[in-house]
Amino acid sequence: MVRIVVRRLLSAIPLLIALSLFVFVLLDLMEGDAARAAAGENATPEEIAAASERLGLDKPLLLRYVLWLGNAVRGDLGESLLSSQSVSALIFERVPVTLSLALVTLVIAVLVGLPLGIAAALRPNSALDRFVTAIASVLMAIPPFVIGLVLVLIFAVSASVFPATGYSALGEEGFGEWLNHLVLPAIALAAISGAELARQTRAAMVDTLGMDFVRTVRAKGLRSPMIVGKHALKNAGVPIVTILGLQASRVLAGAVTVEFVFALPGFGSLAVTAVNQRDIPVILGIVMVSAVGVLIVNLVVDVSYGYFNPKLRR
Amino acid sequence: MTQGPLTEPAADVDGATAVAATPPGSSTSPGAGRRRGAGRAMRQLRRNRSAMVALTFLLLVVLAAVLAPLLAPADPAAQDLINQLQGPSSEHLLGTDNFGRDVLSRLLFGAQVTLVAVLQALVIAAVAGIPLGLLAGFVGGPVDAVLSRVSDALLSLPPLILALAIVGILGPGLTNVMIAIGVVLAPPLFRLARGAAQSVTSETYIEACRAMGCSPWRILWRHVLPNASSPLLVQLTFSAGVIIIAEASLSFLGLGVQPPDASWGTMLRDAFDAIYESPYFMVAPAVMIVLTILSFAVLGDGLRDALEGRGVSVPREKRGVRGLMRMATTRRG
Repeated sequence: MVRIVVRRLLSAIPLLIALSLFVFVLLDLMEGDAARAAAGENATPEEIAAASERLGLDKPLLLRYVLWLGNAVRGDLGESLLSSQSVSALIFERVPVTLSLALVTLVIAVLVGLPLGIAAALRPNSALDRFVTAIASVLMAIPPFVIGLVLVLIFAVSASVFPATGYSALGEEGFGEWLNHLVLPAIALAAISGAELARQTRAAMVDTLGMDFVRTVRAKGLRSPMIVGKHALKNAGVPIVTILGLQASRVLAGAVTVEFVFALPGFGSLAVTAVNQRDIPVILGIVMVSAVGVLIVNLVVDVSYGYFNPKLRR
Repeated sequence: MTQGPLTEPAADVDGATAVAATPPGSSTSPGAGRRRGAGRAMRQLRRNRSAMVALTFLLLVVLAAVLAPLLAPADPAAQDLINQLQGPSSEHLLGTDNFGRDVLSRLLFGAQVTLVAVLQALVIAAVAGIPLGLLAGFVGGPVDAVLSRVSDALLSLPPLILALAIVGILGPGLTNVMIAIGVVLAPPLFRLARGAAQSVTSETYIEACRAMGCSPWRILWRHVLPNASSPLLVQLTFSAGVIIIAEASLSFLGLGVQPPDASWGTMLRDAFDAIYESPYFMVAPAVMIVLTILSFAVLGDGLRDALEGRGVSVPREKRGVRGLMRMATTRRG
């Protein structure tokens, strides 16, 4: 297992380098604008030149990239052009919000999607199966922020059951408030994830339940819950975990719009602010942190394959 | 793993009868064979009721968008601040928004913006992804290694984050957003084209063609690309849905279409800004967005089913999860 982890980590390095170089070169295409943005709107050419020097923009591209990379490896992603705050600090004060959101989203998606998928798989082509499949297909076509808007409308504007905006950190007002603020945005994000999970669980379980070993354990007289819960579900685990892993990227992308709708001060809203202000170092930092996040989730998924299918332990 | 559990047995029967029904003796040239295959796929697609409903809906949207200047009852940008946030009436069939603009007219012109956006992004993605993919698969070696690395790197990011970053670089605006989304959608096409090129390059008929003096371009264009066209078509259909989501999301965030131009995303943004005053005028753009995305998804499913066995394995390629799983087993919309 250690070998898998090490191998995967090593293979992630060229990936991250390629990605950072790609974004860095793209960013370089507008270097003059960066200096102008930093110097302020009515800056004289001298002020822009000074800003450019202060930001190190007068050095050649490759040198700047190597310098940035050297700092980035040590956790220093540079300074925001506009607030002069450290990019790492900016990002990491936002990460807990988005992580909380992702956590609640995944819990909802798993609690709803997994049982529905299993139930549908137990009776393929039944009314329940068709209902689940149809609902899942429709939900997968709705962008998360549209669901978010509808939820705001129903639960916050009309009924005032949940707060429409804002975030309450875990340490501030306790677990209840924390959850209260996250429920609606998490449902908005969980709709797609739950739907995808239900569809994949259904497919994987239908496959597994049709296998010979299931017939054998059934012939042995094992009760149905044991067959489904212990034998079939574990064998269907690989595709299910794969889908779960893909949700990391999906939730991160959905968080951008959903955090905006619910005014959550998370990673996604930081991204929107940075893009609106064209704050290059922050954008670059966000891209790299997202990529690392997604890679870590993929790694966890890969390692979990060994649990579900011992043949994949190498 | 076997094919999807919901594969309808009827599909196979259809295929068999279609083959039997084609007159013998007409299958001499490979071109004719390809055309006949396409005809069979079309027939199968036509039998798929949900796919046809989706296609009809999309055609209606295209028609509405093209005829928007004729159909729209009012100027989509004309403000009427006295009559803002009105409900449906005979004058404004879908009511007015928070600037008193006619919602129906904005919806029609918004369809125009959305479709142009889809077209732009698809062309950019195809032009960036497909030729490079064919090249990488055909040439191999360091060219392939470098291009594949870049493609993997782009695939490792959440699409919207990457699109956001590119918009951050280029600045807001619809064309920039579409460039961004085109770049985001290129890697899956790159992979499909590369895979097709790789699988075909070692075939004997390519060798024969090369021996006869075909130029590499001719091989790529005449022999490799047609082999990849089915999975690429399916992938492009699915991509259209992704583009609409991305356009709507970015316009909703204020980064895409700039006011006073209408797009479904900016209409949702206007609705969101006025959510406390008049909660219901978000319904029309939201319904249009969802139905259009759903239609592209259903049509994509239908196309994949119809083209099955012609090298279509889009989901697996699209997701890049080592063929361990099979996406979208459901055969129905």
